Amino acid sequence: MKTQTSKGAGWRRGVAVVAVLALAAACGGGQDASEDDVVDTSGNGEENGGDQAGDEDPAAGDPVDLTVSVWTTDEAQLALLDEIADDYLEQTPEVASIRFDSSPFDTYHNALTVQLAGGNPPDLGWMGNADVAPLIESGAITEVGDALREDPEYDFDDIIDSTFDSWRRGDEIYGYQFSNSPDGIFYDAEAFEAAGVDTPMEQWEAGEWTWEALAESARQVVDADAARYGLVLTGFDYSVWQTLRVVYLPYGAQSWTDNGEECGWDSPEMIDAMTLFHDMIFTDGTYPGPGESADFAAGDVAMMSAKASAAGQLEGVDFAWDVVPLPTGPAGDVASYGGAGMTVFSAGDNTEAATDFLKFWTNPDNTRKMAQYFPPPRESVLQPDVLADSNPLLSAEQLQRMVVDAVPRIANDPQIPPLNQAQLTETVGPLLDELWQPDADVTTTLEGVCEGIEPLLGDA
Amino acid sequence: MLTRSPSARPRTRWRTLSHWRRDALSGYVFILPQMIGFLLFVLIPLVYVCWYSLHDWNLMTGQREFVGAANYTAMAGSARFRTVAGNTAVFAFGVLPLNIVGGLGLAVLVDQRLPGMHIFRSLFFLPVVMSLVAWSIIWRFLLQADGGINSLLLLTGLEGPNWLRQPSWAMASVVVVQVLKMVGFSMVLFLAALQGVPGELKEAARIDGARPWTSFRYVTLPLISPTVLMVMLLVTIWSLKAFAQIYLLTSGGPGISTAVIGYEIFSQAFQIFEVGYASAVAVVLLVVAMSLTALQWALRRRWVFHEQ
Repeated sequence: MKTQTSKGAGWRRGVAVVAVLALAAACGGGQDASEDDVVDTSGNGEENGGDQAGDEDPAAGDPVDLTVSVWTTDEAQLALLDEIADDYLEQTPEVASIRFDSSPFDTYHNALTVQLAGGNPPDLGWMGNADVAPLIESGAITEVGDALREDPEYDFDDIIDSTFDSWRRGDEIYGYQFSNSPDGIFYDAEAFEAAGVDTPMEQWEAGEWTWEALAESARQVVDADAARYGLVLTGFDYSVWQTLRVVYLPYGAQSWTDNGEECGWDSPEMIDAMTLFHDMIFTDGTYPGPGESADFAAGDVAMMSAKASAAGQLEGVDFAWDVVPLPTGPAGDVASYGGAGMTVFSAGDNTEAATDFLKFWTNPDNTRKMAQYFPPPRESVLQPDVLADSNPLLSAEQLQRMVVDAVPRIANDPQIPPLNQAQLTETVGPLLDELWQPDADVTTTLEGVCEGIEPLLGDA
Repeated sequence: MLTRSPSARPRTRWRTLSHWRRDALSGYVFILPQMIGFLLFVLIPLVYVCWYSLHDWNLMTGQREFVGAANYTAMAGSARFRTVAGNTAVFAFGVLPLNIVGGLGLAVLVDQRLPGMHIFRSLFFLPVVMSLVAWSIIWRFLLQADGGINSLLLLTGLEGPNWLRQPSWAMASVVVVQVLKMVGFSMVLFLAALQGVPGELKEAARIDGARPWTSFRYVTLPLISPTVLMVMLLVTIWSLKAFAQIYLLTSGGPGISTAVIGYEIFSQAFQIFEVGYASAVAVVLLVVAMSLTALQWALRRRWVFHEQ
């Protein structure tokens, strides 16, 4: 006969067993690594014996479903993506569906890396050109160059070669940079007229549009009370230091050398560039200080550094404006830019189908459709009249000088040491914060940046 | 005459045991859902975090390698971590006394039977129920160099500093924002404790000639010391876990002058993608929080009145 004692003991034993099993699951779940094993959690570890990427041939087996990760939340852009996907599905019965997963840009890369780490990646995804290097080095994204080159109708030679710089390793290509957005200077024409100062357009046409000229123009406009500030760099806000490239790249400065072994922050070129910028903030007062807000569209600022898409914010403003390329520097005419590409993830289940869709999405016809939102890398499409059709706020002439002529000159900091790229980026920011004080010594601060990042560069 | 089988228990004891065990089992059943949740969402993730802290795991590359205590060794030798730990101590021990003194002071003020006093109690408690995110965003705008606070100061002829962008002011600003958010909670706890102090004791002290401060110090304060202990424990733990307000107000800046351990865990995991190191920092935070809690609990015998 079962006693109360044995019933209670049995219950407690049962609870204890459940608890132990749960703890055992916690300790033993997923991939276990011995002390000497390196576990590849990206799911593409051929070398490490991890799960191999699915590589199904869409011609065999059931139709596949593709997922594409994007960071746009614009309804019109998403509708266009769906339209292109529908066209592809009509002619590709091997693919059953294509789903676009949209995330806000701020959290996109974090969410994507967590997906990759969790072994649940999308088939394709957008990547910023500055973020792709570690994924290439770790094998997380698939080489697509062969697939793009083999089809004569794809017209691979139509693509501007420099747009592959961030996506290329030797002859291998790991993505297609569908958006190439050079930075330009938007300016309030009426503020310059009121101040009696030559406009940036006049200076550019005269071949005198340099960073020193910009700083001087800003001083004159502010001194004449024609604007509260002379310049604002869109997206900088004293936190996104990469935005400063619009200033230091024309000076011939780089954050680090091409081989990634030496710091570039204490170079004479960088010191000159940052000294000019620091003086604009704290000596001339022509750039908003830390914590101060200024809006070009509201007429607070005479000039704004931004990409062509920023024209959308200027619809309905009550002043005349125009746009010119970035000023030149001692290193000449360098176009700073932001690039976005489409990649195929190796850990996805359908890499071949995904590559095929990427090829379709980036063909000349679809590139032309996408050009209304994203400056394309194809020469045949990167024409001012084509871009102007889809950019009602910018004329063909404006697009010619700001985008078409600039894309072939785009430059960036070298893409190196992928394994600590994120750490480099996050280390520079706090060190550079010391520069944003009125009494900061530019040279000393920049030397401090180099002291902080040199141990990381040594890991390259 | 009835005989009793040797194997039979005494009737009264059997019923008691049976009843007690039934009660115990019922209790276990009632807490089982919560315990399952605790197991799944607290204990198991905690074990995982401890396990991950022994790995070098980069989210971006997907490579994970067992490295033992290397993350802890790196942390011990990291100047950045020492700065972050120092910031955490400054933040926590800046918030604690302000919260206790402010909460107790407000409680004494509102513990009066005056018309409309309940309105003041509600107003002081209002920040507690506000979303922390909304609260932080509002204060970020107020504390801008050309924000609301400095605009008010300009009306008086004073020029305020750049509250969130100057290293010398940023931490103080964050501390004050945190205190203003939670002092209402402390006030409510202290108010309940004050209202539990027997009136006759205060009356007796008054009759014996004690001044208000003497009565408060030697009669009221000892009697509310258990509540003071509880507020200390809660505020310490909340301060050590601070993240959202740091992220929204300063993002750990300028430089890393306001980066605390909670923010460092986020930065290491989701900005630098070093999950193993971030896990190690999280384990250290857990140990620190538990140690401080244990220390405060151990010290209660010395100064909490009822424990004596």
